[in-house]
Amino acid sequence: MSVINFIVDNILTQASITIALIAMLGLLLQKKSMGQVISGTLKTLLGFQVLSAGSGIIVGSLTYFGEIFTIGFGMQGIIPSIEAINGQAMNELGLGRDIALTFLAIFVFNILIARFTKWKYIFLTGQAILWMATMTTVFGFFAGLRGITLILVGGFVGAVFAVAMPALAQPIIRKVTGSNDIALGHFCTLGYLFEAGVAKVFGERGENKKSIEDIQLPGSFEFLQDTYLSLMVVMVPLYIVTAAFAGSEFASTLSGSQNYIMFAFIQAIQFVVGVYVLLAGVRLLLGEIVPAFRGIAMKLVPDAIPALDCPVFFPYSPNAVILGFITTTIGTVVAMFVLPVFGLAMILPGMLTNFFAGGTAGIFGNAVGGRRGAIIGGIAHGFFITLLPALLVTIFNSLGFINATATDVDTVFAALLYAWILSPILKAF
Amino acid sequence: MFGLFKNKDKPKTKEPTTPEPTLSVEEKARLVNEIEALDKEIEQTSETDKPALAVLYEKKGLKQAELDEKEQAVASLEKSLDYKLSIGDGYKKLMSLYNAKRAEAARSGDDQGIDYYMNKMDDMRQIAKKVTTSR
Repeated sequence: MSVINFIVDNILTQASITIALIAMLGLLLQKKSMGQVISGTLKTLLGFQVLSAGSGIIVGSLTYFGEIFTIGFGMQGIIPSIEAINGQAMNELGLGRDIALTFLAIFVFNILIARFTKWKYIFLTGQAILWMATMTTVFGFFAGLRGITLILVGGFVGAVFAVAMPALAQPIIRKVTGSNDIALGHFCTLGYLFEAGVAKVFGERGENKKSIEDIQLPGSFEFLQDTYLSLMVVMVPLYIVTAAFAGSEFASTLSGSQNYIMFAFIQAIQFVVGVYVLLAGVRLLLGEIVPAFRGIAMKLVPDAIPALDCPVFFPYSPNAVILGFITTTIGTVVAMFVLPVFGLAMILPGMLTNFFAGGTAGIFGNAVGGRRGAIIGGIAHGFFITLLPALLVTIFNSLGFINATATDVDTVFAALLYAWILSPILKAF
Repeated sequence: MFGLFKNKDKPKTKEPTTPEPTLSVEEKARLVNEIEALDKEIEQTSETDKPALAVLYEKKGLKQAELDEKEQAVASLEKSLDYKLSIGDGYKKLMSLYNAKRAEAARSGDDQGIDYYMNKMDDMRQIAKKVTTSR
């Protein structure tokens, strides 16, 4: 008995072990060789530990940023980073094991829905499922759910999103790609549909509809090719300007003997390092689990429509991607200044979300409302994807998250469902 | 919401996912001739002129796909991307061919096939990302 207790108390409570066991299960079900099972399991375990290390670095940098921002601008400045939310939830909040099991539950429920209903979408963007599992677990926990209920509810809600979002986007994806072969698997879909809706109302129609694809666009966005370089381009000025506003007197108390501007520069780089390490961990973590489970999913649902990550659709409308990035960025900058007027936190623009989510939203806007639709819709999209995460800030603060909020709007929407609907119901009983 | 779900199936019948090859004998002969002509052009093109070879192989792959020669089309389109990454019609066709091969593998319960083509689709995502951001 004491052996079982030891295993339950000391081994199974470790998130890294739980995740490694999930990977092991997937590899065994795929009848991989013993060598592949062992190496895959260990790599997953390593991935989790790398992710934790990255999270520690990010939290250190964000804590510093939070302090100088509050002094510099007299309000809370929030960095939208789903990675930071995931890292903090997995480690500092101790929800890693529940998130890992919810991640598995989303996969399983997704396969069941696709197998037994007419909606054949299998969501294959592993990172996005991890972010969804993070949000349903955090907000389920916030609503008072614990243990197996937390995992099953999170798994079911996540899987419904994993099927419903590709299904809702499919009419437009079908129009863009000209086929029903593949679907969009990215948890920013409500933003895309929002842009499409705005583009429908304000865009061009019928014969007047002019696609942005008919225009030769100048410019290069090579800096975005490197995730970390693009993060640095934004974070370094952000930290330095904030430190300057905080002033040398306060900022020096944090920087010790080092010059406070130089310290801010290094802290900005530290943030990028944290994201680098964390994402390297995520890649290691998912590198074995996702191929194992997607193989199982495809076999169990042979007529599945794979829902794939957004860059797959860029070739179908490349100019709209660039236009979407630019207009969404404008929208997020406008929202950054407007939201604090209404008492909400200042959400700083996240350039990577603006590129990937904004770019894909541009495809939707252009497909529905042509150039004008894409421009007006894109700005509205930028505002929308800033507003939704801003609504979560108070809850994140109360849960102990440091200066960060989620990005992908479908996960934010799922969180709001928990916070505004499920939580009051549970608390009423 | 559920109404939307119902609607989504309607166009399915209107727009066949992969158009079945209903080529006449003449059309087939024309495509075969065009592929032969492209082969000659490829032979005459210098190995160092990678952009030109990429275009020629892309054209060849698209024509092979029209003839429903899936394997050959995949090989030509992959070759085109090896010479130069692009996200034109060749990319889209290759993506759709990979997906068709993935579905075939799934139907026959071929784990390795599923894995292979899913990884290929992953590679395509990377190509799309790379080419879009370096335009």
